[in-house]
Amino acid sequence: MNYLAIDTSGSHLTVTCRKGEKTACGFVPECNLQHSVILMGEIEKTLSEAGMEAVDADFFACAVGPGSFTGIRIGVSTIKAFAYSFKKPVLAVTSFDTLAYNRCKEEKFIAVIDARHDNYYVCGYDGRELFLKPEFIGREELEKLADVYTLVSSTVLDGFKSETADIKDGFIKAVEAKSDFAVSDREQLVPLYIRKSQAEENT
Amino acid sequence: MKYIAKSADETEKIASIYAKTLKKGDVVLLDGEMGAGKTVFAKGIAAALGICANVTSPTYAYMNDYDGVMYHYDCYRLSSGEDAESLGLTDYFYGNGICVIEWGENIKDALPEKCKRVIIKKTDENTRIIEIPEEDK
Repeated sequence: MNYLAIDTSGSHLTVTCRKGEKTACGFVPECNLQHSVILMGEIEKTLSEAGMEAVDADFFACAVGPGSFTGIRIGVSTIKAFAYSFKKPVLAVTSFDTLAYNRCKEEKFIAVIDARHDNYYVCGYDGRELFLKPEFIGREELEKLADVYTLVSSTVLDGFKSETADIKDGFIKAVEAKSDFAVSDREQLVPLYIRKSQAEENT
Repeated sequence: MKYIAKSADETEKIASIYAKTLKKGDVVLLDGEMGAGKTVFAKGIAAALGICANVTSPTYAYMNDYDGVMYHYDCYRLSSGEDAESLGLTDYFYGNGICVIEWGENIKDALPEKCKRVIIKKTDENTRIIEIPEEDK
């Protein structure tokens, strides 16, 4: 399947595409909140490396978070614009998938995204199946999880031992692995919201 | 450190000197009542950072972005950290620019752990005491 996929959900930028057997990938490790400025140029460059035009894509994909608020919205609106104009399906990849899909060890693990102020977004994987749905938790709860499972993250988690995931390869692998889940209802591509439980909100 | 400014010009000048101590990624909270000169202070920081644009209060926009070098916030109309988060205003705290924040107390729970502070007190129409507390090491 041919595709164009982008990850603008963090301080980095990944643009990746495939046409037939040819793949290309552009990766900027640090874009200093300038995704909107450099994204189109990177897309153009990556497409041409794969000898591809946007119209060749069978689906369009992007990272839907958790991550940078504005970055995610830049990604979702860009991918929706492509998908609507070429009438192609869309695929959502979560930031947890990006952390998880590069891992090959056969054990349960927790993908962790730092939400700052001692809060974390977590999601539990057993291979590529979820055993713990995305959740917003505090430090103590993460400590409990860390006692039992390996933590995987893209950043250093202060006070925790964790494996560092390759977010570029992880994103590409997640897009490839999930390609069958692309949907033609383009409105389904939305930022991922993970809310605190009602009890926490009220404290 | 305490300074006394006898005019808006002097406040701006003190801010320009203070700006030399700032590093990329710093978040500065400007404390002071309405009319104390917080925006004037932000102007002085901007000038020292080489920003040529005219710095005005971001009352309606919440935040003005000066080319990613300085982000100037006015949180007067925000009532919680969640407000700031749901407007996408908190991404910039962890970027490579300097964040200068007015009425930061309104979004206390969304601010980074290490913020710098500048306290501006009005003593009479033109005189201000500008206090820059020692930072916790």
